[in-house]
Amino acid sequence: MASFFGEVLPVISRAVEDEESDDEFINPEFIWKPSDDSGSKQFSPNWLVMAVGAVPAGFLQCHMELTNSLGNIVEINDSKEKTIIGFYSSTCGKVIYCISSTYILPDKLWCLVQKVFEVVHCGENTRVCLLDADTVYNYHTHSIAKLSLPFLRHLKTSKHPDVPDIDALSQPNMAKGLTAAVMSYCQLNKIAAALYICYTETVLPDAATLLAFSKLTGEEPFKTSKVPKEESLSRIKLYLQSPANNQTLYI
Amino acid sequence: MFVPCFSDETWDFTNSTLVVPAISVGNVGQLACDLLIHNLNLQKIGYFCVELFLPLVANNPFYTSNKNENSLSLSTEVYHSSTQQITVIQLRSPLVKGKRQTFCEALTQWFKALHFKELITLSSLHAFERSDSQLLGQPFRYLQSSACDPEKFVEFGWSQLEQRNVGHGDRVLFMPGGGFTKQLYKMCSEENIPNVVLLTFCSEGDNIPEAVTLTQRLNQWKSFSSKLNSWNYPKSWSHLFGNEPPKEIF
Repeated sequence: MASFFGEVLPVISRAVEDEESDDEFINPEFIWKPSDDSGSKQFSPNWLVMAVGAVPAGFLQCHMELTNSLGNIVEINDSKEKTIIGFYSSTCGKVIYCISSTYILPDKLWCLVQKVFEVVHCGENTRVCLLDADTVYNYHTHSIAKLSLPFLRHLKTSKHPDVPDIDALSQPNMAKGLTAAVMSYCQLNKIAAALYICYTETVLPDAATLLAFSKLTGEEPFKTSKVPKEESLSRIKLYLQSPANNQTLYI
Repeated sequence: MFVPCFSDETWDFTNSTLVVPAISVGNVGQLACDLLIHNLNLQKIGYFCVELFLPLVANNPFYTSNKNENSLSLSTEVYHSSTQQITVIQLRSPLVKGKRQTFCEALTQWFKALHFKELITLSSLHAFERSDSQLLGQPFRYLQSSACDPEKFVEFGWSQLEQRNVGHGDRVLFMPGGGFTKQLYKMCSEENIPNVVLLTFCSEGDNIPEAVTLTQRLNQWKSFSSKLNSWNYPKSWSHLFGNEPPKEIF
């Protein structure tokens, strides 16, 4: 083939020279930064609750006591640190809450999950509860007009007991991202885990979506560390007034 | 590598045919594996190299009743039938960047360690990359490694994938859009593993017809089931192209 510059190349065409070369795997660097001097101490809670995304994070911040910060998992990239997951413990100390509102590249998720379970040891009796949210436009069903928004669906690992009050996520719907990575890890390691996905009308949290997860507040582990109703309502108001969660175009 | 669903179960894969889809254009290989698993009623027995693929979870894609609807499915799963001597690894998401070589090595090691009979790769290539001679006739092609019987497909009248002339009389395998097909094929040839690649040229779109053709060709060769004149689609194939438009808008 003669290229633009006239030399003869031993390939058919420049456009098809690359047969999907496999890029090099970049090993991301995640490190644990404790809030106190606990160093590399491993936590062994009864419950691990992980909220991924703005809506689940908003729910935990508005409904739960998250005063005791344990530390963060940060990503080191070009000598810059970026907080990926914040860890908090409940007042009783038996529940660890993790909050992640940062987008993580899918290729890095397995390394991050490995780090989470280095920090938190999940034994036979540990239960994992994952909270995620997605827009209803990504929900596949024959009767989308009949659904009242927002609504919850769940997935569970084979070790987890049945979840009677919330419908299962029906095929062909699926979960991806960090919550899917944690669920996969739990299924492979025989850990009881359940994922609750809230399908919403908007990407950012509003009052209705922040209340969608409240179905869970009557259940363990939330019922032991939830704040009183009046307190959570005033927190929701404050949360929605903050510029980051305000949905107008004119901030 | 392989994680069984139930740790107390053991499986004998000797003489079993291992089928793997390539993550290739139009996901034809993956769709064909869905058809095989669903129609041959294969049993899920475990997971294979889950950490090498992008994470994805859902409920059972092959459910037939409320009983088996809510069991968790991961990105890569292994299905097996000892009576039909077939094992299928279904891959539902792309490989993590840079993990292609690791996956091919893990697969060939597992193949050898468990004494599978042969490895079949179901794949597809970009239709727009066909040479002039490939534009005519059927888009279906096959390839077989040196460890296979060269006369195997003569009776079916199948066409072998043509090699590309790259000048100076050199001819090479050219498989654009085929994902790890070529790498796995080369590795199998080097390791003396019998590997047959069944593939079709196609474009992205509704690739169900290509998947059905590929599965029919495989069944023509292996005769897994004589009853399979028509293939039932799994329920997970509903909404492949999104939701239907709501009736309220009209």
